[in-house]
Amino acid sequence: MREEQAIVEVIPISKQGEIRHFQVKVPMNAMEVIGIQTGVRIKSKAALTVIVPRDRDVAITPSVAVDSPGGISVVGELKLQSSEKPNVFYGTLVRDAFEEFDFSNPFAVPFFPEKDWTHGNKKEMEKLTIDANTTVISGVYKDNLGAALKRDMVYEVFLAVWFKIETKK
Amino acid sequence: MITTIYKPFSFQVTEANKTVTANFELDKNIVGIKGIIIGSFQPELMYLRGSQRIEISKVEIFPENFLTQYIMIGVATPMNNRFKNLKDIIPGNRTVRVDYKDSDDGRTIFRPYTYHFALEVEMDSSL
Repeated sequence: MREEQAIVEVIPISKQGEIRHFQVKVPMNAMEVIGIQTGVRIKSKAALTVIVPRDRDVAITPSVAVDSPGGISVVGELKLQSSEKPNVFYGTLVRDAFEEFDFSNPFAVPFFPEKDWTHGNKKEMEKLTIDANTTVISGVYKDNLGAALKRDMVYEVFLAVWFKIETKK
Repeated sequence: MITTIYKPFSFQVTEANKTVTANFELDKNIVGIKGIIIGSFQPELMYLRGSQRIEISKVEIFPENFLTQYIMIGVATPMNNRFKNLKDIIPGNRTVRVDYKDSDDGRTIFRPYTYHFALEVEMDSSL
């Protein structure tokens, strides 16, 4: 029997400065909230814009379908709230590791650019110890990426909440 | 005698925005499952596009939409700390099921890639 269980909530964002409320169902046999993990998947594509040069009849689509978030690593703000005593028990700035701002001690190797998937550390959950006596956890997410870029950015925020589960002996 | 070995598995992801289901079976002399590691030769695709549900012996280890990047590691991770700890897994019927979901990310262009994973297992050589 597993002692830990994760519930993943996907929060879709499509508007500039969007504020989205959501709920995470707490499993019946959950005893404690023991950890949180967050992640981002950007859906917007700059390549959908077609460039038509003046001296040509044929439209040319850029070959690289990359929509750079423009050097903004904080995509939004997340808060979680329990209906029990702890109330607002978790708040974080959701970061996108793609922007590489979180490397504190970089080492440079020519032709081996530093990215989270090549140089990153092992991902661990942010540890918490909160009673899971409640049936749902309420959450609110506020967009920063679209607001900072002053345009609508389509992306998904992934929230994994880890619970300690009561096991039958 | 109990020995620790690393069992590698892999499957191909050939289509964008599709879920690939792969089933594997562990040897009968495996008595414990201690850790998991995930990687690819195109790690940027897997990191930005991937999520999966993993089940071992019909017990869900990671739920649907669990991002692959949570389990991936880079060269900065010490060698003896690379496996994600699965401390309380009982081998049971020794089946491993992976439902890997590839989803578009605006920063990548899809091309076929391979999903590699390895399990750190304890093997009883007397069985």
